Amino acid sequence: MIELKNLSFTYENKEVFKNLSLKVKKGEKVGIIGESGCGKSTLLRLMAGLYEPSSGEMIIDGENIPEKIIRKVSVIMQSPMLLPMSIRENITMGHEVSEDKLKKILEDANIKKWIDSLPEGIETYLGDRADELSGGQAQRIAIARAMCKDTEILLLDEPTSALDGENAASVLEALDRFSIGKTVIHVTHRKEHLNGYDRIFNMKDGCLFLQ
Amino acid sequence: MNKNVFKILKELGLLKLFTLVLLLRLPFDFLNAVLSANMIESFIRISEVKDSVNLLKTFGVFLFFTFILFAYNALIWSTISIYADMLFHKKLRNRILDIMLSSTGRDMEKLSAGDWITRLNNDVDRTSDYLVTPINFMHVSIAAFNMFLSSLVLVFLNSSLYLLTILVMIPFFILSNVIIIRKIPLYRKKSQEAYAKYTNWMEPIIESKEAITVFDGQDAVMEKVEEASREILRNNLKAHMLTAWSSFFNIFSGNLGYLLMFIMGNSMIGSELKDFAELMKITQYRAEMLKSINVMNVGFSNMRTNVISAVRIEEILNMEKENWKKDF
Repeated sequence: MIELKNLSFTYENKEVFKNLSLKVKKGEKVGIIGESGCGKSTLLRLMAGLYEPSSGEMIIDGENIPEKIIRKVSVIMQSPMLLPMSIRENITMGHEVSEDKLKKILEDANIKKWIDSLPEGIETYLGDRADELSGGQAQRIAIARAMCKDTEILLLDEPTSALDGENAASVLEALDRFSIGKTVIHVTHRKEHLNGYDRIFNMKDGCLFLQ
Repeated sequence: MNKNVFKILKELGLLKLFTLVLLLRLPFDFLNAVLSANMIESFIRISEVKDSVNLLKTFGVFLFFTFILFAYNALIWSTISIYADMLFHKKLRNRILDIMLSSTGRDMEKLSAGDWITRLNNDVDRTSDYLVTPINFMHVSIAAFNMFLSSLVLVFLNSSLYLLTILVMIPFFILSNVIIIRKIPLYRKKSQEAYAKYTNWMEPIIESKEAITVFDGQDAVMEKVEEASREILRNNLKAHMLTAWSSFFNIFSGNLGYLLMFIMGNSMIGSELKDFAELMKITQYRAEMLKSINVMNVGFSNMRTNVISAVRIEEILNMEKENWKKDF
């Protein structure tokens, strides 16, 4: 499902990692921990097709070209990256989604109740700062966006690091529900968020060490 | 002067400087009108008697005065005017930045990031355009002064031709300035608001570029940005259309006036007018008056276009005063 062969990545003349290899089976859940700046987020962005490796090969769901890899994955980042559009548009990103599917997504992402309580519901416009949202609400919109894309592979980059305990728990609960049956790569510096994961790696000096 | 612009100038402590710049420029256009009208009259008279000695002398005299007049305008007045403009920009931007930096988070949230940026850049430029670019407030005042003096001369020279000139112009002037350009500020306001919306998109696009790419949101984002861009264009276009109509009526009234003046003036030679040279002198005064009216028309149109920016800046200056009241 995910295969990295001798992958190297250099950024501004600095080698982030060299000859990195990893195989992740379909439906497997893999966690990567490591100190800040060790390159784990960069590795995730490479797997998302957002960066191109300096050398080596990367096959994600049968694709090895970044432009095609992007279509095969969903990413939830530390920042929810919301845009000044309505909640609906932030979730669907302008794509056609049936009302039934959207309703199910909102329920699974734990935001239906909150959205229904808004005067304009799902059509509520999120301003350029999306001020009125809590971090948890914003992140759950990002999860709903990923649910809408509904890919086999889910990449998580510290999705709860900016949240307090209660919000983090609620977001993790939504993510657990969403990730059933999916291949998940979860990058975090908090090992306790990786309970139940099949394998956990520690990233250090550009290498992955199985825990 | 618009009360918002007046308040801004007063608040920045630039009212005296702008009044001075205005006063320094006032005599230029009228003296230019007197010079050109008398030059045409003198040259026609000299050519009629074929006096080549006097022709050279007259040429020298007019060349000297024209040089003095334009040197004053280009070197002295323009330098002071540019200095006033630069000072206005600097003081106004600093003032808005100062208000932004001393505002609480809540106050900052009253406006979107795009709106702050638009007010700090675009609106400051437009308010400056209101005041100092060649065809706005300053030149409207100068043109009005020039028109008043030229009118006095025309009444003195030939009241029938003056009356004819004015009567032709009045209806077009009203049509152009009162009816046609009335809606320009509304379209400009909408355009500035759309510009703020457009600017609002820049930061999220940069910050959320990865999400846009991964979730294939380029089309949705492009559509939103284009929507804002189209709104700017649509409103600007409407404002431009009104300006174009206004210009058309001004030119039309100007040419119609000339035609009537030549037809009537020609039949007046020998009775109410001394000769052709005198008719040409009157025509030249009338040309200067017409030029002033056109400057005023374009100036009014531009002032209407830009005044909304002064209102938007005043809103920010008032924001600080409201906070001050709340604090104490």
